[in-house]
Amino acid sequence: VNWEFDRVFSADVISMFDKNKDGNFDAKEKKEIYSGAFISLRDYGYFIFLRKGASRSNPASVSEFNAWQEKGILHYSFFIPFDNVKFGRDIYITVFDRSYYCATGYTKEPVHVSGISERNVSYSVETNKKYPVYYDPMGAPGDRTIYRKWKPGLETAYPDEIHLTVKE
Amino acid sequence: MKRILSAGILLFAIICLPASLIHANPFFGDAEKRSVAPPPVFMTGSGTFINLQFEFRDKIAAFLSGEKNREGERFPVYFLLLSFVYGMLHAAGPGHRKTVVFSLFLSRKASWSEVAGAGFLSAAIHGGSSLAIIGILYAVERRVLSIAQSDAVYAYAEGITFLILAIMSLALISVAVKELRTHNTEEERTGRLYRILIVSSIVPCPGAMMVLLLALYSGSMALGVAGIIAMSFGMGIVISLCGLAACAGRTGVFSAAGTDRGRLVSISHALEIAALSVIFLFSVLMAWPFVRSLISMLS
Repeated sequence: VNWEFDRVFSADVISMFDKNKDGNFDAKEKKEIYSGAFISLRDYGYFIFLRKGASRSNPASVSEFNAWQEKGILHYSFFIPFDNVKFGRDIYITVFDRSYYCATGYTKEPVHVSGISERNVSYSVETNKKYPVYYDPMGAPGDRTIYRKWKPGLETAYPDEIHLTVKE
Repeated sequence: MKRILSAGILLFAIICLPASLIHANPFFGDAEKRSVAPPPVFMTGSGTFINLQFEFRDKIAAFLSGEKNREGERFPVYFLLLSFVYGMLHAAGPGHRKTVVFSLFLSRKASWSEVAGAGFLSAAIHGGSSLAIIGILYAVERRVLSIAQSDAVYAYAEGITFLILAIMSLALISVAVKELRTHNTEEERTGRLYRILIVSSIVPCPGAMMVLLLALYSGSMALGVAGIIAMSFGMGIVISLCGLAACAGRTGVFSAAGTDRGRLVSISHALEIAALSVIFLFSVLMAWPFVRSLISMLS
């Protein structure tokens, strides 16, 4: 997963963690970013929703975190291991902040294939109208509840999903 | 003096918030010992208007981060113009005491210049408290607050202020109900209405804090202060327009009521009680996420 941030958040993180102001994050600075401005997302499922049919989940963990900056813009990348997860050949991926703090969006080409032939993978970005994300706009921080049904007080979001299909 | 002291105490309390409590942004904080408060303002809305606000925010950030040519003669003018327009767009969004100003001027007679003055006063206090918080922390601790921390300071300040507003408006409703018999003049009631305006405006403006912090990151405090002043002018225009709309509505009600003095006084009292009730309900609604978050943290 690769994230590119807006200029304001970028300026904030860069000013906090690029201590030597050299325009790069060294190993120590990256470690500080991981613990100071990333791992807290664990409480929010890393903003990633994985859906197979009607079943939706968040990644239990991520690995290979990296952070860098380019012309004042901050980038993060990390890996979601699917080792013990069986999604088959068809999965829906959504990037969405249910704490309602961050706005998210996809690039024009949101999927890049590596390791297998590109011809074996197809994807489309679709607005999910059938399986909305219910979230509590006034929810307490750390509340990791995934609401499967709407109830009073919850807001309904129809985030765009990336529908990924791997051919036989 | 008492009012200034109270406002100062509120500002000091906001500045002294424990560091462990100030993370509203999900990216920051200790995942194991999370203690945060979400912003109590409902930030709903999307589309062109919100995008325009983000666009201007990014332009300001790009200017200050040096992506644009900062050496040009027109740079400060462009920056101030951007800040001014951003202030207008920012104030047109949720918050910024538009409801309070609208309610206040619905409840009492005021000249257009007084309404405009109150709008700009509110914007100036709103922007000025941002400057005060960041400036005091910088002077005392020699550290620049991060934007993430300023978001959290704003969240707490909003929550605390709305709680105070709810209590104040409730107390004033009770006074106003008692005064239904005494028929105090509007001028006598003016002082307490301004008290509400000042207390509600003491909340630091997150947009102004962001502009100042971006300027500090790029090493230009003077530019940040000038940006806050330009932003406050933009915000003042929008807040004043809300007050003027209320005045126009009030004039319409009184024109329809005729010239019977007793009837006019009763309408005036009724409008004041209605306005204070709106402020009370609005404050409770806005403070609720903050209260709920605090309860969750404590439990």
